[in-house]
Amino acid sequence: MSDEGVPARLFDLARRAQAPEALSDHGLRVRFGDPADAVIQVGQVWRAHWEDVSALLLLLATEVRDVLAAPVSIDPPAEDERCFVIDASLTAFAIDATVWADMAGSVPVRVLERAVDQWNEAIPDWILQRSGSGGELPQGVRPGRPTSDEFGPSALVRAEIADDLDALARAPGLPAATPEEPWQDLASLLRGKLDLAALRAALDLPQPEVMRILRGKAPLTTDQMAVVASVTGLTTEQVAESVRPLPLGLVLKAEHPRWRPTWQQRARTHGITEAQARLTASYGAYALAARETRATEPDWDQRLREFLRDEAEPAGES
Amino acid sequence: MLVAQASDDASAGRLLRRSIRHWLIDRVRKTGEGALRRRLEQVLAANDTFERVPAGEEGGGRWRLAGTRATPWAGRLADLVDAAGAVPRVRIPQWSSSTRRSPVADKASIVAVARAAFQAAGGSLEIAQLTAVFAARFPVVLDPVIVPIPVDPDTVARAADPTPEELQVAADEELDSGVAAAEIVGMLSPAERRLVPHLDDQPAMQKILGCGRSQAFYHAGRLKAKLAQLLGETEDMHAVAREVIRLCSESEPDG
Repeated sequence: MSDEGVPARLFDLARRAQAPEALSDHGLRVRFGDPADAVIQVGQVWRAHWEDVSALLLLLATEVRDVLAAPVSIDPPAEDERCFVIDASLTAFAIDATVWADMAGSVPVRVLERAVDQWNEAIPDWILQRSGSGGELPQGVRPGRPTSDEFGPSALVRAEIADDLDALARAPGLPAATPEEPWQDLASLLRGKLDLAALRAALDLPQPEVMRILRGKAPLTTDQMAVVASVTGLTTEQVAESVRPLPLGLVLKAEHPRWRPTWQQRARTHGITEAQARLTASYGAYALAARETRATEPDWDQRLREFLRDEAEPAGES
Repeated sequence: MLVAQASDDASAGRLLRRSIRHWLIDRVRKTGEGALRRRLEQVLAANDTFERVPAGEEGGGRWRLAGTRATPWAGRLADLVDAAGAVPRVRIPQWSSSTRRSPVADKASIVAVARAAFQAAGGSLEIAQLTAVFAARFPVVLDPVIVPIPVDPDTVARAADPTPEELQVAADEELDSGVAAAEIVGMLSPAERRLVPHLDDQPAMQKILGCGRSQAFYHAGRLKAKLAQLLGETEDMHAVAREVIRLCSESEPDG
């Protein structure tokens, strides 16, 4: 571990500190199975992570591309009258955990990384249905103690969590097709004004790749969008929207935490970001599926695996 | 926490930094609370308005208004804080030490605020409860960083053209405001001085602090409360506040 803002000896201390076995990689595999087989369920506590922001989230409900979740904190000890505190005996953390129930909201599934605990479903049920109306708390749960200092340490923890949730919500997602939004590829937008040679030269790409971009079948980097905009006279927004959005079924698969270890590994291999690794692989899988004739929704997990296999073993190599 | 929440060096480093910050704040607040508690006990013991409940009586060892038979209070701390906050004309004495904390308030103000808290309680209080009331009423006394600036007339007096006689009084008032403002600026940390000119500009605060909007909102609110406490309720508080902002703007690196 290294971090310019933290002395190495503190990292060493943190490494040596004893942690509950249930939270070790082995413990998590025993309790939740292989991360590649992860299942998202209400009552689980997930580690959410994007770039350098991380948070613990108690899942209250699942939505299409999001989960309804309440942030959880375990250190530093912090609470106020809008929180609920879960007794240490009910969690894998071995210390009391604070649920910031009033801060519950939608969080994109794509930032979930790993389930670290599973709580009794009575807890999320109670938070969802009765936390605002009083009533008897589930066993082992107590209301947070009120704070008298408006700017005390608990208020700072609350502000930090709010900023973390904002940052997680901004994590870029895949462009998903929606029936109500018409879409036009770059070729249609440039009808009658296309200068293919100029576009090829500006992008410095082979013609087949440029044709894929014109048909909206290849994702564009931010730099490429700016180049296309300057050559064609379109706005950067128009260029960005010319990329064909991905089918929702593919987006749901590719954004599932099951695939995150793969995207993170691919990002390290190619020296790109996790978001880019997921985006380009998803368009690759989409291109594979487009070559097939079928009546049913493709098996997107299978297409993603095929794309990654072809990428690792290009045709002609053996 | 690291095992549960961090998944790589970047997130672990961020969490460690945050943990260290909270730990340091906690340490400073505990030290500050100890000093505040001792100061309150001194004032209560030296003033006939208050008495310690004798051992053997209910609530023995607590404090109450002298001459009452008040029993131990058990209510909402926020009610006592509200009562303490309603005491007018609380004065913060002039102070210029670089090594000691800001004084909580002058003795008469401490007595007035404590009396208001006891009256609102209608009962006897543990010294820890009274300390909590004062800590909420005077958050500055628990602040970790207080850096005074030297009393230097050159940094206080405004540059001015020759003053006509009819403006002499106004100029004197301005100078008084300037001196008071300089004292207040001296009680702000360097980081707080940078924030003062931008208190109503959230994006600028986020940029200076390198944080998100909720933390910027928190720090702005905290700094405003601190300034309100330091400004007090004097007649020239608005003039002093303007001068504080001006001085802080001038002390900005690019100001």
